[in-house]
Amino acid sequence: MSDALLMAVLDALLPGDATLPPASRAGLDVAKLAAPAQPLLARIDARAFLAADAAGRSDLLRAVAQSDPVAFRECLDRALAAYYQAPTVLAVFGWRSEPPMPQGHELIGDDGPALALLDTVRDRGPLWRR
Amino acid sequence: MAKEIRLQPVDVVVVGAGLGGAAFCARLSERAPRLRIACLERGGWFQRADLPAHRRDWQELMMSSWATSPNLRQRSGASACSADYAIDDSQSAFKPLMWSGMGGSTVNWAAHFPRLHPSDFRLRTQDGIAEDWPFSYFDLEPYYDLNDEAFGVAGLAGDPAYPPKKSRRMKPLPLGRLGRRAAAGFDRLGWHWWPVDAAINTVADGARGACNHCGPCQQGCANGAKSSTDITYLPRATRNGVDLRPHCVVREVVIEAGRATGVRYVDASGAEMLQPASVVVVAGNGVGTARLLLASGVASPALGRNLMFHPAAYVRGMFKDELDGPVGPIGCALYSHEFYETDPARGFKRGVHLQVTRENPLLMQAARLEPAWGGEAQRRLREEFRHSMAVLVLAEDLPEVHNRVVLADRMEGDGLPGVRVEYRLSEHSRRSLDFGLDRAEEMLRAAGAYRVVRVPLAPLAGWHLLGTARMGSDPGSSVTDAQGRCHAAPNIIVADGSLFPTVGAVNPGSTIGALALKLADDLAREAA
Repeated sequence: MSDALLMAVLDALLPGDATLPPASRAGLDVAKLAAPAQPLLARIDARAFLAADAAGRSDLLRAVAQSDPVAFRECLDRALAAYYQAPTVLAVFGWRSEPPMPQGHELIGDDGPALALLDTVRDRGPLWRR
Repeated sequence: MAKEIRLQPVDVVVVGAGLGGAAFCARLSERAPRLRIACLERGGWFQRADLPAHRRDWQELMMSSWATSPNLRQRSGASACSADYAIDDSQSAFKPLMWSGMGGSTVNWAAHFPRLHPSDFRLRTQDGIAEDWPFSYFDLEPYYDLNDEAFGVAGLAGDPAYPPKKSRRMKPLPLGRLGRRAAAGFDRLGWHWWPVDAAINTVADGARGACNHCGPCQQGCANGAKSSTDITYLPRATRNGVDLRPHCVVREVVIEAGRATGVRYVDASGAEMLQPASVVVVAGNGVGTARLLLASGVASPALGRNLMFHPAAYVRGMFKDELDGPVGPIGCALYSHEFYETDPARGFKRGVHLQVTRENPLLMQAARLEPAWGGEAQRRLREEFRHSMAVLVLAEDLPEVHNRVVLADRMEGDGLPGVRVEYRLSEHSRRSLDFGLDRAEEMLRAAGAYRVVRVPLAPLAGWHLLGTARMGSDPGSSVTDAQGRCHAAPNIIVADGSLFPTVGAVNPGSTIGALALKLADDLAREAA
């Protein structure tokens, strides 16, 4: 029951869409989320939550977020971190899963035409106050 | 109780190895090579190989053990080699950000490197408000140039918002798609804009690489492209014989009969030390310096008061076409000083700095949505990521005595009293910010934004900790003289942003470095 509830809560938090996977199918290490989610799960009526449709689950989460914002935020922050660092999710956003270094990134394109616009700025003369 | 170890005296002991302390040490050791100088830093050295940029969980680390806020770092329970102390910021509109280790806050700064304007030194004379600095922009100009040389500035000469500056040593950072979009917007409105001066290498320089736009500058620079004092001033100081001591927490400036005689500190092993010195230099930023001097009993009514941050707010603009996302140095695209100088028609004195900044990483953007969960949050994130830019508005903070750093009743684990920051946003600042937000929104729309989101206050923008030991001639309203010497104990010199009588509306790093170099020259002349 508790695993099913955790997965259902994660999917209510991060439901995905046509291309973005729901949390339960994003390849998260769910075992690592179990402990930080426990205080939140303890406040949820599992049977009612699992029986509810998507809108009903959101309503139940909003209610518990109001009654115990600390437990809710702790669970949410851990879920967001796991989800938005997952390779499958990053790929949908067009972002790579490898760390920023050592490859770095490229800033694309030619700045020349934009920098030429500075002639207009120069032509105005000094702006600073003497 | 362990016996205190009394060390051999030195001529100068410097507390803090951040921007001010490191610049001071390097310059003084060059100008007065016979002086024995020790520099005590409460934190240690960080290792570039350990930085978040090398790890897959770098986004999460940015918000926990490598957050820019010492309170967030401490709350995460993981040390990131910054020797943090708790700051009670519950009564402050802005939350102080800093780094306490070798390099100080240059380890996690954005390296946006503007100078103050000449008018920023003359508020009383030109605008009838606040105070003038005890010297002018042009007195400080040679030191700005020296500081630029030490940091290696990338930029473009010829900016008409400033008096002519020497040519920048390196070409400016690329504007990228985001910067080019913004440039078109400013151009359409006929407003000033210019690529930023950045203390970031755009070409490799010795052992330091060129910026490869990897992104998380504020968690330490992984290839040394971003300047920080651990790779600029501190190696110079060491070569000149300055004795750098990491993990040394100074608990007291010892004062006898109105003069400092040295400092008491605890070293890395926990041993209690007394370091006698003829001169004590304090450079622990606007919070740390005030904390130490207040804890040491420096009797100065203005000490800790007139805290200034630079009020900050921003507008995000969403664009149909793809921009760069979190690629490139976050603070470094371009800026506008179209509205920097006073215009009486605006209803407030002084002006605002508009800075086009890069986007946050995906996780940080997701976490800041309100609400941050559910299908609608994910839809918005899909729409915004790599399609947004932010225009940061910095206003000029004016000195107000009720904005202050005070000691708390409790003692902290580092053996010093706890510290509390009290800061209220003034009506003047609010008007300035609202004006700047209107202009930022105007620019974003001119650049093609189809939707904008105003963020009227950015609490986690408390980088600039200024004014709490300000220079002046009146011991009743200032803490130090024009040479940074405390009125209450003239052989205590302050050498950081605490000295600023006023702060302009731009990032202070360039000015802190220049000022520390000037003060070091003042002391060297005296010691000659």
